[in-house]
Amino acid sequence: MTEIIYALGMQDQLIGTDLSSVYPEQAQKLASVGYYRSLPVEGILRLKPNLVIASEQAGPVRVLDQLRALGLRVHQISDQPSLDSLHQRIGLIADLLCVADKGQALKKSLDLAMQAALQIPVKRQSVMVLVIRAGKLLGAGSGTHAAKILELSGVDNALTDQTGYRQVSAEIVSARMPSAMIVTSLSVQAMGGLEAIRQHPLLAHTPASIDGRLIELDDLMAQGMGLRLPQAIERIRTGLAER
Amino acid sequence: MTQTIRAQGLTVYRSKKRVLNQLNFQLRVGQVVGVLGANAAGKSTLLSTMAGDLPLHEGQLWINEQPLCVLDTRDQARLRAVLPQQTSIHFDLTLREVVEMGAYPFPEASPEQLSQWVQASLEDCDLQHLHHRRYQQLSGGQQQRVQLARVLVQARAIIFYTGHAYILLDEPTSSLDPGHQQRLMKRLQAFSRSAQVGVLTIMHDLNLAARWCDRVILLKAGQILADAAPAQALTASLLQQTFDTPLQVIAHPMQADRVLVLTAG
Amino acid sequence: MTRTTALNILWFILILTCIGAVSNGAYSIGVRPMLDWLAGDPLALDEISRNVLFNIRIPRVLLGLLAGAALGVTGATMQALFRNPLAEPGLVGLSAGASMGAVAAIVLTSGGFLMISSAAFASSLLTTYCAYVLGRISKSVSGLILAGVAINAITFSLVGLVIIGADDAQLRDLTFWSMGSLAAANWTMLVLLGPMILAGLCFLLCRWRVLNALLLGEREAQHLGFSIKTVRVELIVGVVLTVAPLIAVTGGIGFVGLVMPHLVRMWLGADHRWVLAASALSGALSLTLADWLARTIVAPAELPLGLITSLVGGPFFIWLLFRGRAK
Repeated sequence: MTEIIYALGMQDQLIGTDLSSVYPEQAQKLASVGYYRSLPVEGILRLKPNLVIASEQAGPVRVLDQLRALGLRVHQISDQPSLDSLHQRIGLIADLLCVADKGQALKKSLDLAMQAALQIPVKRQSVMVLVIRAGKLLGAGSGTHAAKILELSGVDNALTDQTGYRQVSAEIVSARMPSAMIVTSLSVQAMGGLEAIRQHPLLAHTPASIDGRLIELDDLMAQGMGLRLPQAIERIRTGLAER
Repeated sequence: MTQTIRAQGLTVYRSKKRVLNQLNFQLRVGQVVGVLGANAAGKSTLLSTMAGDLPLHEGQLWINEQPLCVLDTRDQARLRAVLPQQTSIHFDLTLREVVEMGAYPFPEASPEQLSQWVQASLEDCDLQHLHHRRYQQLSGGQQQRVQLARVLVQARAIIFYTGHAYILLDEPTSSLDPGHQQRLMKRLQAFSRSAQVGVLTIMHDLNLAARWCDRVILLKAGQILADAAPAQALTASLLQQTFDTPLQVIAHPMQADRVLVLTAG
Repeated sequence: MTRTTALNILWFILILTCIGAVSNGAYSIGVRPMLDWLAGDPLALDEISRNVLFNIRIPRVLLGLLAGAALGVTGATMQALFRNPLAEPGLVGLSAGASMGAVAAIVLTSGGFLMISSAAFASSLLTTYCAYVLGRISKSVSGLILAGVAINAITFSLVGLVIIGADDAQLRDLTFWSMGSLAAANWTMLVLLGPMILAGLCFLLCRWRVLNALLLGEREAQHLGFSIKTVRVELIVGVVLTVAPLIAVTGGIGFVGLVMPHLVRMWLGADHRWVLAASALSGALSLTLADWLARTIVAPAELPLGLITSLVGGPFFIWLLFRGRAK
């Protein structure tokens, strides 16, 4: 949502964000109220906002109610992994900030970029999205933003049977044999390079590693359906088309 | 004559072994009774049973003509006080705090009364100059005297509310030097006579028992071999039977009615 | 310095801290407006400030006082009951049980606050009961400790099992729950839980003689007239009924129940007549201070309370170790 505000050119009115607002980088310099599911009432009041925009999953509920009871404008916004939700978000935020026309323009350019990205020819195949955290391999199952991106990119999610981010075992990797893997930048850093991931004992025998089809995406791109969705899809489809 | 702890046919088992076998005896108020015997003869078991820690397999135990089994822990604590063989305290209490615990069965007692009892008991045990010290810093012997002072406080409280009391002691003099031993036993005897207290004490020192006990019980393998005044109970043959070791008994060179026990050979 | 003077000093510092904690927070309310309002000017504080003071900060500070006192007193009680300076309510399965309930609520249901607290409460009662029943198999109190260890281990594995099925967001929610927080404080909660916790505190504070007697050993405590079986039940029930509702609404707050009684004993000796009251006061004081820090140190964000208590508690324990060696 923060990036939408920046894209609409309204960043001067932004005075506070939460821990998840890491893009664009300037946003990280703003005051942060912490984890969005554990919001502090006084902290938010301290910043004296005129408007609070929160994900529909933000919490705890009583904090948002308390803020409303104190007369603050609090709007919760759709936060589902779908293109529709993204459109809704852009529209709602643009309306709240009174720049509806800019919102429309943004939506149009988003759609155009999507179409362009989808022109890139790609074969239907099985892909795994992996995040490496603290040495553990986590795979994106269905219901995640990453899974949706895969779907929009026109490929199958190798881990569609599980829900959410779960640890992947050697068995699962062998059973699914993904022909390509998408990894986040932080994971690449943590492992010390794409090559290290390719050689990872759990992954080395997959077609993806053998053919060298590893695609790196910046974390927020891979895990959130934001404005850079078209770029993400473009990167994925380009990476898959390469031989 | 209701001021006794009386046992009849007392039989106690521990870990399926019979430790006490059909004991009959009485502890009367105003008397000091010493219990002597070899290790594992059943002395501590006897004390524990009288203190209410162990169940009776057979027989009956009465305190003031009330069967022990009808008295709950609180009632018992308001009739008799118990000194264990050793107590270790791993927390930082002062000497005085430990001694004051003797009055816990009587939360209704006033602070002035408590103070009196504590002062008298500290003097009995030669502790009055130490009473601000921390318990953990005291020597083994001093700690034992502190526990005894606690027991005396409890006894004084019991006497205050019921007129007479019983004290059960498990080797009260074991870590004391001879000077303290004699002083302590002398005070116990005086206390038992003046304040109407029945004292039962397990001892190892035969001569101490001979000097200060009004009666002596010789225990062997859970049975009473003798229950009489020291002069009658402490004979060479009875002692040989009790301790499986030859002991000589002679008349005390300086006191007509007393005996001295010596090792033979 | 007499013990009573020490307690008075604690009271004094506590009151000062409360005043500070209430008047200071992430949302700044000036001292002047507050004083004016107290002096009788009803308009000195705007609506938001009044709301923050009366509906957010004061309930939160009160909950902190209750929680701190409860943790201090129950910690001291457990240490006397088990004659072990490392004992605290978690030993009999209280916190593990609460975690289990919270995890189940977060992962298996949609996990609203009410659901999580009720589940945590019910499950902490359950695990403590199991530990107690198991512990009775052995005559001595070490049976209870062993049972508590066993129950904690089983609960921990159950929690682990459920966690495997949890997704990222749930894991994060659980992490925040287990780090503890007073943020949920409100008047309804205080009215419901306050009397219960206060009753539990009074109950335990009156038991100072029993706790002292227990320091002599269970046998001697019994000779002094305290039936050990009854006492054990009473004390465990007292501890559970005081702490379980607390953990349910605050999540796990560590170290206060362990550390404050220690400090108090180092200062005042081990006589529970003073230790219990001082543990209550110092527990309340430390938790209020910790929460004050949690609320303000990284404002506008808030740190979890358990983080601060652990950050301070951990090094403190090391200090205790060194001090013990020096003696």
